[in-house]
Amino acid sequence: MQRTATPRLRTFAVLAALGLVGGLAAGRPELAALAAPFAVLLAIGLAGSRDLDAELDAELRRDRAIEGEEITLALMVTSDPPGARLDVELDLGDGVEIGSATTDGTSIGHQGKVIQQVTASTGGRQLIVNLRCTHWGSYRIESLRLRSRDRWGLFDYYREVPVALGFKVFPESATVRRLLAPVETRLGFGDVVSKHKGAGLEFADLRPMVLGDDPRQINWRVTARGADLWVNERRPERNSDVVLLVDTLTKPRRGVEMTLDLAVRAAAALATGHLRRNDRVGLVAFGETLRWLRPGMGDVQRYQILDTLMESRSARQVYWPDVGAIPRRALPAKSLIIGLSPLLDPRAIDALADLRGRGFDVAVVEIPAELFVPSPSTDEERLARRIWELQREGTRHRFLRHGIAIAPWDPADPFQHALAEVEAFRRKASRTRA
Amino acid sequence: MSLAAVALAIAAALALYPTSDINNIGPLVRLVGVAGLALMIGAVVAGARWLVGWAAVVLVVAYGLSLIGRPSIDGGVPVYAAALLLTIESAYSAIERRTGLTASRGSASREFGRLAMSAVAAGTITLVVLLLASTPVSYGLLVQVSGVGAVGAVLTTLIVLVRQRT
Repeated sequence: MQRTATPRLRTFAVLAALGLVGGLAAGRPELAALAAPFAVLLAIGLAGSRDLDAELDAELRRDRAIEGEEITLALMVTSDPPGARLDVELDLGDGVEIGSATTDGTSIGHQGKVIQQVTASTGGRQLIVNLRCTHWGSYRIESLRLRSRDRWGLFDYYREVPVALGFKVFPESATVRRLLAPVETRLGFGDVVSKHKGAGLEFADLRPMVLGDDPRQINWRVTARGADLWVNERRPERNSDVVLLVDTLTKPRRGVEMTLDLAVRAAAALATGHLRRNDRVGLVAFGETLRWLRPGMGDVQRYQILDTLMESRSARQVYWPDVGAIPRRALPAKSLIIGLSPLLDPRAIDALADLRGRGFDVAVVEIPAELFVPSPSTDEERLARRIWELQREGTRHRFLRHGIAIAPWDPADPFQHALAEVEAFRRKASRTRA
Repeated sequence: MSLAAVALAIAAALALYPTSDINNIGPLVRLVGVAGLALMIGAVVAGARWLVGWAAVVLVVAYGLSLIGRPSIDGGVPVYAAALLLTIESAYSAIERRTGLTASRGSASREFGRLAMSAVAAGTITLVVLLLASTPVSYGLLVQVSGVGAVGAVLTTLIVLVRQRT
């Protein structure tokens, strides 16, 4: 470890020299006596100081967790000579904190991101650190820092150990019971009742039997009332393509939380719900960097969506012009596009309107930016706030005029409420069209 | 916070302790003492570790000035030495706890215990040296040469140790 003298050493040396020389020059024994303890402390500390060598191995017991869970970090700390008391500083980002630290079953104190006074040994002392994941995201521990100090406080020891450990914390997603019903379905089997007729379980209509109809479809009860044979028509259970459009262009924040957090939690809930319904789910995260994921099914797709959402926290300044940049395969025809946006950036607003113009089935859940903006305190600020709110109201009306269902999500309420509001508008619009 | 308060309280006592009966030196002693206290306050408030040493040196200079013209040996040196060590250690600990840039030294109670033991040890060593210095001997050339030689030897040893270890 790198050894450096502390300011104590210099202070004690100066005081010892000053006292001894001053006492000798002035002929005052008091000054020599005053210098004595500093000289003694210095002599003992310097004579007893040794080089300290410390090693550290780190391993994460798992690399994925959900918000609120803990990830265990196992550290093996060795030192030569043994018995050195080391502070281990973890290079953690915001959103992860030390929950507890133990060695041989005994709890060890920690302050902030530093585990204090770990007694190392030559054979290695195992230190178990439970990292509490308080915020979703992709995290990386680049290095761990070891610090120590000799018994007399005259020397500091320091070493930075590169470890490069990465882990991901997935957002805690709410359970969504009723999802949005798509206007169009695919041919694949799923849980959505198609509006087209075909082989399925759901009853749709009755019609006279024609040549080629399956005799098992004859409705004998209706047939018995007349002279002709009548058959049941049914609707097949299909799946649909759902694309989640997460607006990451603007991320107003208040404290640790930002609008993107709400959008990501909502996206995680929607992705989980739709994948459970056997839908194909894709993702387009449009921000400084455009990221997309082609629609797919299953748990693998769910984790890929979550992984892509993790990366949306990192901001790189790459200008993205419009929806034309999204590859066609990421937006299959007839797919239901659910936008999650705070409606702050005109590019995101135009993109959603543009997609609707191209014939996609678009619905928007508005992430309330108002919660992340400080309350106005002056008359000018209140006026500006009113104008801003009117502009936002205008944007909502613009969406509704284009036939895009939009509803705000108040985080105090379950996400289901916002979806129910969007679905209610879609049903009403559907009835109006019919 | 408590360590900082201890450091400043003791520094204030150390600044006020030295007095001189000589008219010309009295105000100077007080001025230098107050300067030392001001430096210590600045060091603790600004979190400047490098300033603690200068504050201690200025306080010792004030004490040294107060000894000029004093007819007898000051019996309060052991307490002064213990208090000086205590204020230096408390100031360093307070700053280091606040900045967190150095290795921690355990809990606050453990730190107070360590400081108390250091102060007692410093007072005891000073007392022993003072008692040895107060022993009446005939001041001949041999004694003076021995004194100078001892101081030289101590300083040389310290310099050699410091150069070897840093």
